[in-house]
Amino acid sequence: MNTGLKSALLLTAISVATIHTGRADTIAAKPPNTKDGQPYSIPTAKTHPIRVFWGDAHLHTEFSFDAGLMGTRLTPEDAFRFARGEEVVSTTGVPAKLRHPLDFLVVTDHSNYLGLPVALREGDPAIVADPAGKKLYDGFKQGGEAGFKLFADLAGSLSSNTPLLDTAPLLKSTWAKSVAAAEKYNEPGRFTAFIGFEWTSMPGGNNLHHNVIFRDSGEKALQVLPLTTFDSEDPEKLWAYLAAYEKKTGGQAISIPHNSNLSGGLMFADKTFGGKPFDKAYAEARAKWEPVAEITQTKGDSETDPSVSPDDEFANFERWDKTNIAGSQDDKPEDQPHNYLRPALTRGLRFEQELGANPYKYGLIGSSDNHTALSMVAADNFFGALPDAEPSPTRLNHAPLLVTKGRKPLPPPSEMASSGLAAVWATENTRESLFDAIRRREVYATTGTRITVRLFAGWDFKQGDAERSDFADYGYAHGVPMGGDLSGAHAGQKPTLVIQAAKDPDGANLDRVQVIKGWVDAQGQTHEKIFDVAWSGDRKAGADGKLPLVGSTVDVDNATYSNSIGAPVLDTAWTDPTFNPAERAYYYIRVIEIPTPRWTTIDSKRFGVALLKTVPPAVTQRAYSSPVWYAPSGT
Amino acid sequence: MTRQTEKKSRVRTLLREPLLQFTVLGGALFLAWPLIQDKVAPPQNRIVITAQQMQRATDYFYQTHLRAPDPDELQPLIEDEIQTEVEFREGLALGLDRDDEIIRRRIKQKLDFMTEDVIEQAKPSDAVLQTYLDGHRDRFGAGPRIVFSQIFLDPSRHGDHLAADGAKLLARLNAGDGRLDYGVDSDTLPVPNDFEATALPDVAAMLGTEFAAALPAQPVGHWVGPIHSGYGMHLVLVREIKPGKPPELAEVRDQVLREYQADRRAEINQEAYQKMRAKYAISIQLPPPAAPDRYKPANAATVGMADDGVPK
Repeated sequence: MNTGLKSALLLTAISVATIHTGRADTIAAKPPNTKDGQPYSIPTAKTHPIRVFWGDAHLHTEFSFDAGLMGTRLTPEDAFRFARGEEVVSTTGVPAKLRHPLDFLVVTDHSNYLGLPVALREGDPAIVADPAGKKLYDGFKQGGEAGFKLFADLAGSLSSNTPLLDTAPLLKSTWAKSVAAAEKYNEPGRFTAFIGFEWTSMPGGNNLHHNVIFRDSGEKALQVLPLTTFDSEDPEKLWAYLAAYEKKTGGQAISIPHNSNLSGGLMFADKTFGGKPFDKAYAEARAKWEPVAEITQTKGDSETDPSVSPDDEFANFERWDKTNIAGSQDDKPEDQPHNYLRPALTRGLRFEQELGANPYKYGLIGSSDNHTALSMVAADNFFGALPDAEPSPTRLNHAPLLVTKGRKPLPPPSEMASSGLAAVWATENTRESLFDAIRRREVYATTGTRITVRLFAGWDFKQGDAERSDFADYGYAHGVPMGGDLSGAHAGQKPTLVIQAAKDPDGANLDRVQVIKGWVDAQGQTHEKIFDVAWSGDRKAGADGKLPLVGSTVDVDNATYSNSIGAPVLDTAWTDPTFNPAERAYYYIRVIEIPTPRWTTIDSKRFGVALLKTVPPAVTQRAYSSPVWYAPSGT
Repeated sequence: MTRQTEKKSRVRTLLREPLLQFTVLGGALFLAWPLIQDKVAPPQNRIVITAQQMQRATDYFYQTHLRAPDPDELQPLIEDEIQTEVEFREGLALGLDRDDEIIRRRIKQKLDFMTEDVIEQAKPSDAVLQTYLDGHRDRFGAGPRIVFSQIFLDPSRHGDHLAADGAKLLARLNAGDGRLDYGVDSDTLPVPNDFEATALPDVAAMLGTEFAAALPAQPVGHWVGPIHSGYGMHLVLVREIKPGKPPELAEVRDQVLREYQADRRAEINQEAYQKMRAKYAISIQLPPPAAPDRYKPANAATVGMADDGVPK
């Protein structure tokens, strides 16, 4: 092609892209290197990741109908600026800043009624000209019970096929703003602003929410509109949407389920949304479009539940296990195994045995789900999940949220967890590199602190390998990282996991490192077992095989703790003593910190208000790695 | 056809040309207007459909039809503009704009947009942006970048010998016998031993704030320690400090402009508002004390929660 023609085509492409993005300077990905060829960030010469990038893949702003109607006034731009480390003033007027900026953020406003609160607040002519919009507007303006009614009507309509008003024009214009904000703040090599949205499916008040993340720039993302649940509540339709997006644009996108703990047993129901048994195609599609799940966030932890894992002494952590997300249905004991990730991961093995594909092949991340546009999850710098729970002397005693007649109230703000974070082992801080790491599941979750966890699994690792100075080089060369697959054990071989875990350098020491193994036997019976594999001090397992607790240094009155117990770094090479090469298995790492004051305890001290009896004064923050899976060869 | 009939026919054609008709009639109206206008309508009741409005109507037509309107298609568009304007004015005359929350908010919003336009369009000069960049170096990744190595001593492994072990190792490293083996000398930490040029925020992300704060003050060229971090103790060799220099404005112009505007936005909005507010004398009338139960049910109800589900 001659140069003239090429540049003419390029110009056309640019002008088309300009129309799409509205910003000519955001079309081409900026080179991640500075002009003297130096990487902008830390060195990235190695082909494998040398550091963790920290982020939040789940955050709402005033564009979300619930956040905006409950008062949030901060925008996606505010959210990105804050995450990058700038100071912003919260909705309730409290200046806020992060101790350590995030490396990446996905703003995931609800696609249903996207932008409606802003339109109502501003009396957008397009909305108030519609009688239904006018009704909402009047209710909103009136506030009080009328405002609540409006909110309840909106939330309720998510489960219907018809929105309360035609939101198509609003969806389009707000999507453009949302995309533009991400484009404006995305700086390859320094800060990644992903384009995304939340698809808020909740049939019967059961949580099937998913977050969609795009790998691409606005030029591609603007070729589609966010899918709403008015289009469909069936996750398979969401996958079809993602597939159509990829086909149309050549881009990539994934979907991340969250709050399975509030799903009334629906998230991991072991049958399709339409009630059919899983088949291989379904399992493959689910594993493709949902490579990771959000295991921890402000509305509770979704690892497991004491009723599911009675032998797990650390299972009772920040549980929301009384009802579904609407408070419309009590959690039934038989639903719990379908609400939590650990049992789902285990049953996934059985499905793989039966079908040849694993529908629940989830890597694990944490995120906040804050509705304040402020991604803050540190226990000593927690602004709550809603404006109502931003720092104030009264927030600890705010009433349970959404009291509806005949419904169980959801937990009050004090029961929110200051959680979580998404940790990504990526080679550089760009949309592409981070997205690819998430897709290959080389990610993990923490409940808010910056614990570093590194895991490799292989057949040839031996004692001492976790202490090699070339740990990562050696690990990649001789094994697979978290999120990877092992197969083909030779006779007599057992998998060895080499693990390094380090505390948050500005936080608490570590109590222990655990390997959590799930497997399925020849009869199709599922099993789980927890191994303590590295711990601080010279504790010995008791007669029951359990390692004694590390103790506690928490001074509740002063809301302090000390690192006089625990260890800064724990590492080990652990070989599975129970390994059976014929049985499918997964292994994930759980790292437990020493006890530290819960955010509510810190609040009691700072505001001089009484300590709550309804929540524990101290918690053990933790990290959950993505699993490594083992399958017998030839299967 | 004779020459004359040809000419006549041309004139007829010309006379039938709408453009000419418009021009002549328009010209006549233009000349006569000052004489007749006051008889037609008092000044406040004059409606002028501006060229801008006409253009907008034509453009709108084009968007849906992908061609310009014919004159007979233009007429209804003009009529629509006139009707809207007439009814708008009649509505205003009846005072329908007063006490209307939608209009109040809409007009406030338009005013806000004007301020916003001022901010977006006030393209600051490079000199202004340069000054802003110089004043906020730390926000544009312009701090020093440090090439260094670190050896970690884990307090939980060295116990009471930590300080002594550190001192011994430090002495050996600086004796220059070349025996340096991270696998032996450094305890395990999932953080590199050797760092290429690294900015301090990235050092803080990997080694904590305490270490990052101490690092730039260390001498270059020989091992020093102990330097403490949240992990424990470190010996450090700073190989080179690449001093912080502001990145060229050209490199980070987008980011600087973005931050400059974000900063100025708050200021300009505040300035503009205060200027306007100063024109008003404001008094606030409080409602009588509310009945005790007035806010009870509403309070419980309005504290709604994210993602809550189905109403009754």
